[in-house]
Amino acid sequence: MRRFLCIVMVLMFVLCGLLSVDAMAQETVKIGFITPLTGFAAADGYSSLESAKLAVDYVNEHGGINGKKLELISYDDGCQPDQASALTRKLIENDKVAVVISGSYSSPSRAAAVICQQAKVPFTSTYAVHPSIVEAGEYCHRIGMAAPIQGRVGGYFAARELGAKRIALLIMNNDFGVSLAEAFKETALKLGAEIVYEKKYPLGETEFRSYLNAIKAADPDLLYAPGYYNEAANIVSQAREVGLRCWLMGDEGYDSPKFIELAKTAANGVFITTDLNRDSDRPMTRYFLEKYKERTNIDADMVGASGFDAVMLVSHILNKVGTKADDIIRYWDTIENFEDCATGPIITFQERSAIRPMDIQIVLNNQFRYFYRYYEPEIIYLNPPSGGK
Amino acid sequence: MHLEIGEEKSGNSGNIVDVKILTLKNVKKHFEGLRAVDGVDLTLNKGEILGLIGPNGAGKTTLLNTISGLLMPDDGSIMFKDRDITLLPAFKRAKLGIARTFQIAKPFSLLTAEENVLVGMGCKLHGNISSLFKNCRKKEILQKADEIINLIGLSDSKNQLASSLPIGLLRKLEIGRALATAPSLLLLDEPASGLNNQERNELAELVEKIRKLGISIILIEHTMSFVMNLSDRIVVLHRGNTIAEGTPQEVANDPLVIEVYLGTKGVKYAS
Amino acid sequence: MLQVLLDAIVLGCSYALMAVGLNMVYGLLRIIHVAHAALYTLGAYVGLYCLLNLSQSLWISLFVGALFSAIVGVLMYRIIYSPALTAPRYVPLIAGAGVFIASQELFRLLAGPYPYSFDAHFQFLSIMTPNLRVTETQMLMITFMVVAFLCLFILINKTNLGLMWRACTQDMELAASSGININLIIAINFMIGSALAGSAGILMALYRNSVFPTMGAMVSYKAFVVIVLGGFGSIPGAAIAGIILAIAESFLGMVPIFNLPREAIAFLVMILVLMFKPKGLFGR
Repeated sequence: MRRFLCIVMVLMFVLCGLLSVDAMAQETVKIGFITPLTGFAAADGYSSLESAKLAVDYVNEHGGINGKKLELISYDDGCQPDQASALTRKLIENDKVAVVISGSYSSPSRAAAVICQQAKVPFTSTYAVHPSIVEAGEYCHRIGMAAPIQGRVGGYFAARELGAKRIALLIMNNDFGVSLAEAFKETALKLGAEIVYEKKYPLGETEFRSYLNAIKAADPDLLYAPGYYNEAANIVSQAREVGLRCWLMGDEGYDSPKFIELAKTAANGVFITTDLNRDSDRPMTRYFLEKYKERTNIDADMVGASGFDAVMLVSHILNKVGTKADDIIRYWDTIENFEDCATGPIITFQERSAIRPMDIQIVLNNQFRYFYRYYEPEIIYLNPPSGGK
Repeated sequence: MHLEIGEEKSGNSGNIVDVKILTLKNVKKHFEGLRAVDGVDLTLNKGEILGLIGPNGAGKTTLLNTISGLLMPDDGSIMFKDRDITLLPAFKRAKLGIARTFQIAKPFSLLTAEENVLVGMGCKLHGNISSLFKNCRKKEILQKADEIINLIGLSDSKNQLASSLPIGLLRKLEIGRALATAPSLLLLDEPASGLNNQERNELAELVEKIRKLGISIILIEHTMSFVMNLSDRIVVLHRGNTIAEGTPQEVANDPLVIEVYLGTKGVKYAS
Repeated sequence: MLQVLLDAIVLGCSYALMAVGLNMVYGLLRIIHVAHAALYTLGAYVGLYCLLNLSQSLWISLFVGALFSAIVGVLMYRIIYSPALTAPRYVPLIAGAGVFIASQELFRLLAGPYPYSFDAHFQFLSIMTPNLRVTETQMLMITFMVVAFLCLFILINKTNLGLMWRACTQDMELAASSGININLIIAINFMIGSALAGSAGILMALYRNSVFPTMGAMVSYKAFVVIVLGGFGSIPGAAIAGIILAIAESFLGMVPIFNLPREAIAFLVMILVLMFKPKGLFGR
């Protein structure tokens, strides 16, 4: 008798499982999302995921994907490449997602891109900057700013707009910092500036006084320090403390309200390259900034914006062409002037990387403010259309 | 009842009082199949010196470890002064009055001889937490330490690091450290090993002095003359079991003991 | 130059405070207490909580943070290390590493992944001249370190507890046989080491104005380098080596051709010490 009951119960479980899977599969369009929710990158993962959810809610409130609900399946990759590959495989094979989005750093994104390319599933990274991510193949795109573009924009701003002649570099020693610094350096040298100091520091470093004293001795016009806000806050406040009086310039990694909170008044006057313009009056930007604050009680950052944009862009494509991978990829490369995003409009995709106007923001009165915007194709295109790179 | 060191107990010096200070019942200690101690019964009277002998691996040191609390017996019970101490940890047994030395002389080698004695004295002194934060070199404590140091004859080298002392003094220092805990039972694990004849005689004198303080002693020793001369009673262990017990003469003449342990040496001794 | 030296000494204080606790545990139990850095982070978070919710006073938050770390440190010993002591030595090592990683995620779950600002206001000495500047926080750190090490020195060399502690570090079995309550000594040992780690966490949170879940990661291996340099188990060694390491890092970091990151310098030092003086500068 007991055995019979057991069998019945097992059967019921199996049936329930089958039914629910079928029912869900019919109702929704799934997109996969990997992001670090644990480990050192958890803060960025949180921003990214919450923003992606915000976008999913927006899409579903506005009719979903051709009447079907959009469903986000997210996993925590802990910012580990091996985790990212395994989870991407799981998203593709078990969850049968139509598109994979990476809300993670460069190395896990690169690992995920390779898996997606093999499985022929469309993939896009959000804020990861390393050039090699899209080199995995035609199925891989990038929503954020590629490092070569962003570094170049920084270089132009430093050497051309600010007219800095002597430049010091303090570089975070990972894919992010190094690839930005390379592009920056190339541009700055081309524009006639001189690199008077260059040093790499590891992720997680907190003590910069000895570097900054050496930089002070080198007497630069500008310090470019590509890295993330945690380290940047220390660099900036310690730079002010040791009395380094030159322009300080950072990148989108600084673009977080936490940067200003941690660096306090020392943050004022720091320039950053970014694509999230908080002073913009574009409705989508305002929508994102307000809703994000409402949802999380924290001010939005660039990382979140790019996660939001990725979901918005992907759902736009899914709405147009359905869920077939090849259709998605073919359509993706024809996108022009996509406006439904929180960052500046995406002008086009070049070499599968988003091209958009680039902003310089400055911290004033403890807030990020709009300072300058680059539209020039030879600066904001990966390979400028005119040809000469 | 704790005996103060240096205070001569009148009347019973050298005499054994018929009061059981230590009673072991069926004590067992096994190490993964090896029956190191396999059901030993043992009693010790107050003021008695009990010699514990047996060939290497007979379980002597293991038995001593179960008494001092460094090892917990697998079975059986240990009574000390009418108190069941079978499951007490080593430091509590030390506080109750069981002190020991080790087979391989081990002092606190980076402390001076005097500090070694002071550590032992701490056993009785520091009942409460607040005393832990008091000066460790108070006058009255140092005086008491000096008494012990004089007793063991280390006054000249009390400020030397223990690691720099020669083996003869080290053995004495170990006993001094043990005495500092004001014990009523002293366990000596091969105190004479590595000593020359003169040192050995000095040590024998010291053990006699200690017995006169009314402290009971269990003595493990391989040097036959040493243990036979000092002990009131001898227990012979073999493979974890007691095989003979009695006065030194009785044990020396026991054919079983001669066979398993003393061998030719024993025959010589007996003849 | 003097300025760089001074900044380095301040940094060295934080290394030293962390390394001392590690070395106290190593000296006593011969285990590498990897989870020590978790107490550093814990101190910072508790201190921050105190500052935001209980009192504006830095002193109270320093006290509460250190106290909390001390208690958790003892619990850590009782729950994690105590059962693992009889096992091979890699067992407590791995258990400690597990606790450390888990603690980072716990802090993240409880307090969120974002760094917090540690915005305490307090009055203290400071030096401000054109050539030399010691901020109030830097002064506080140096003072704290000096006072802490003086207290520790007196405790270890002059008191009964110190005598017992020194005895335990040399031979635990012998100490137990001499009537020393070794569990109590170990607990006090963890208490003091953990309190120092917790206060180091708060002071660094104040110095850097940030508290975040993974703040302990960098100090944890720096502290390890420090105890290798200073000699395993040596407390003055840890203090001096902490400052030496920070000075070496800072000055080598200033040499333009020597283009190695700070952490590489630390490990270079460690490798050199292991090659030429494996017992460390003050090892015995």
